[in-house]
Amino acid sequence: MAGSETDLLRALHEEHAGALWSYVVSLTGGDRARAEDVVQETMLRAWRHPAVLDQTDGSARGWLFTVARRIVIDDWRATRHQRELVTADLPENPVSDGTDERVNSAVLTAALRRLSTEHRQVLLECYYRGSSVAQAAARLGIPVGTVKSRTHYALHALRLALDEMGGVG
Amino acid sequence: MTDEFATYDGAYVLGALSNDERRRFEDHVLVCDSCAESVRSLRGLPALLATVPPTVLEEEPENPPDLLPVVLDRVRRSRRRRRLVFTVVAGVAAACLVLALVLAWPSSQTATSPPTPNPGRQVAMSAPAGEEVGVAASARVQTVRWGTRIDLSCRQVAGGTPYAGTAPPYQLVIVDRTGGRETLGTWNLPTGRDITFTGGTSLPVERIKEVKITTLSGEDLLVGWP
Repeated sequence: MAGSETDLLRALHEEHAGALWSYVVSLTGGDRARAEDVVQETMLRAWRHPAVLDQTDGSARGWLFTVARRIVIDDWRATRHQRELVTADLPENPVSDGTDERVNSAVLTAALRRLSTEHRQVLLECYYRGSSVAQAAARLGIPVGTVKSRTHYALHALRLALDEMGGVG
Repeated sequence: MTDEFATYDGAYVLGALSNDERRRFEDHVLVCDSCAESVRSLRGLPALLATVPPTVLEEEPENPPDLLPVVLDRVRRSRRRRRLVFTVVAGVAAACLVLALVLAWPSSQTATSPPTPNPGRQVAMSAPAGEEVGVAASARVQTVRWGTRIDLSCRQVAGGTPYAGTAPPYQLVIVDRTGGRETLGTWNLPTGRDITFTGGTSLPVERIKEVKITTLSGEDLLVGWP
């Protein structure tokens, strides 16, 4: 029984560790030591939830992201709470604490990092550099039709990844 | 036949189509539900992309550190800890049970037994003047928690003049060291039968001077000295 649990945990790690790592690194603002702690803790909690471990359809990802997000957000809030106790400053805008924005940005970063190099290239060209399809085709040395189909698949893959991770946008 | 516009949606929402292609695609979307739906699903993404820097796309994603060995190690430790906690809890429970039994043992002893579990003392009963009174008896005098218990074995014997052949009521009387008398009960004695009559008193045995069987009128038949 202990052996199969370990196998399930190994499989879970195999399938989701990459996406989870991108997500958590982004959430922690690039703090890799903290990210390692968060990922470990998330996997450990997954081990304590056999229902999550047992998922074979990949839907465990949403669960992992949610748990990791809670760990990081609790951490942020604890730190901020300490700071507020020290300074006794009232937050200027108590409703929005920037948490949602940071989480959304982290989800998007992780989702983008899961795209293939080709898909990331066309998004970089056509969105961030403002290239037209023809210009991107010339710069990348690929046919115009290929740029179109890559932007098509890249954005749909991004949409899917975002939905899987518990959705933004 | 495949829809030539099927892959235009991405470039369209990113604003990368030429003017001519954009116009043709917009005309097509008006009549193609599938392309319209596809555009709707992607429409929010460009605004979202604005929230992260382009470096996210430029950098090759790093390989995640291999955290699995650490996680598995923590799983093992956690399992051991669970076992340990279980063992400790079970151990403490067992210890509590033993302690409870130890504590309960003497109290249950005192609850069911006299403090000095002696079998009592046999006291011979005899007629004062060696008369034949028609009854013979012996008494067992026993200290109990509430005082003194007296078990009297009694039977008719031949030759008793006043009550021979009858079964008159007798009574059990004790006399304490100050001369006070206490009647502990009365009984009948059927012919040819041994009976055991039990009486009791709050007096401790050392304060009892005499145990007597008397007639109901108080005439002494047998006397014993505990």
